[in-house]
Amino acid sequence: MGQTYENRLTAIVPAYNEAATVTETVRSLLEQTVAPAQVIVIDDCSTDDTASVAEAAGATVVRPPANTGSKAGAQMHALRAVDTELVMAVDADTTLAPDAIEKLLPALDDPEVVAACGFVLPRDVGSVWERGRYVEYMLAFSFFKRIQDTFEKPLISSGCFSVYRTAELREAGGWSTRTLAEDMDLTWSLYAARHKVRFVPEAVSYPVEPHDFDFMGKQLRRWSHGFVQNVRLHWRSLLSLGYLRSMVAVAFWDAMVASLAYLVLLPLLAILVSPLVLVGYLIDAPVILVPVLWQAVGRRETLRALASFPSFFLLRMVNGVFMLSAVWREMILRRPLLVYEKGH
Amino acid sequence: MSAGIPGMGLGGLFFVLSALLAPLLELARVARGTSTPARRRQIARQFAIAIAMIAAVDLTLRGFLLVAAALGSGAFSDAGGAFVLPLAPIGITGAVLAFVLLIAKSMAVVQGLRRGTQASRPPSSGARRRPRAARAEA
Repeated sequence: MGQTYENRLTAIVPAYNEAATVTETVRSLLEQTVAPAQVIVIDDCSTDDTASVAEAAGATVVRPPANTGSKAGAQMHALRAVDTELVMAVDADTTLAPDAIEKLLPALDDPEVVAACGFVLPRDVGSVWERGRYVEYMLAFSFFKRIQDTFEKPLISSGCFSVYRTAELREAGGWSTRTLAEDMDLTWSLYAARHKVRFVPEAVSYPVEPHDFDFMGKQLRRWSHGFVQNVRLHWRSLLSLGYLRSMVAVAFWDAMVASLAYLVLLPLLAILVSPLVLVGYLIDAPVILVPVLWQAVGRRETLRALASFPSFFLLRMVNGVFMLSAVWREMILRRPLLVYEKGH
Repeated sequence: MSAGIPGMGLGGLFFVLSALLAPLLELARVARGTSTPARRRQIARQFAIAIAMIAAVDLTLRGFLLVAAALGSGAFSDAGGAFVLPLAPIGITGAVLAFVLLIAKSMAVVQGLRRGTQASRPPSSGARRRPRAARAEA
């Protein structure tokens, strides 16, 4: 394995004021069972010690002449310097399981596969927001994403931990700044070019997730606007991609109609008909709990999953607010969100 | 599909149905010789989870009905029956799902027809429009 992938992979880590976390990220990359030939940290003109800390940890640090204004901008700055066959994107607040790269790379043995992503779990699970996100990821990565992979269409090759064939990545335009969800944009562009993307659940990464509402709000605003922007940008090419088309249509419906039902219809019915209607907020709890517990038992995290479970419903409601706001601003008011606000 | 979006209804049903259909579709791969043990394991796992999700809904509703019956409501007396899944709401959700998928498919068909028409049309001698990608980048 090590022989096969030796010197074929460069990891690039965009970083803006990440002095607190970048050391662990770089170390977790260099200490992999199959380590990248080079770890490049793009210090996007940080105002803290990100550059010196990353260099001390063993990374090659590059610095654009001015702040690029987005994660995608920083990644593109580094992509020009990459001369290996494969390139990996890892967030500066993300650590990897020691064998994550070893588990991920074989997906690219198939010459048609140009990108692969792994399982994502929050590194810290303490606050209500981190707990909500933990359940959300356990559900998404243990059930939804595996089915998407079965149908050969993972919705997104996650931006915090994905590997790409460098040539095809460049051909697709790399990471674009035209939307706020550069990973979704890139994944859908790769599908439009008839490439394959894989999800490898055995390759696990641990990003730092928003611990408070301020950070969570920034992230959800970025993600929800990014989703709507990508639907607007890619809908024509999505139409010819059967399963992906269906997934996005259903997701868009849920983003609008289910959010409206959740935030408007249920409270209204509770007032007008009966307070018992409020049970609707929890009606799908058993359905969500099954895949979450299935994964948690395997990871010996059953108690953590059960304790975190209620937080999911709060996060889901907040998510609905941001999603409706994004649809309203992007599609009705035609006022797209253009500023990349760094959260986690 | 973001798991954080409210409504396991449509998205949930879509993925449960996908998981239930996957073994059938895999048979075609088996016949072609492109199926792998890892793929079959993954499909079996998702199938089992989907069945467990359906069972969880059934058990939860059964619990609700038992509680309601214990509280003396004569309207809820089916808890001991073989199957208590609320078929009407599931049917409505299924119909909405079919509607959404049909809309998406119809758009794809219309797009295909337009492309076919444009391909068979002779090139215009008038002013050329800027390519869409260029407009998007502008």
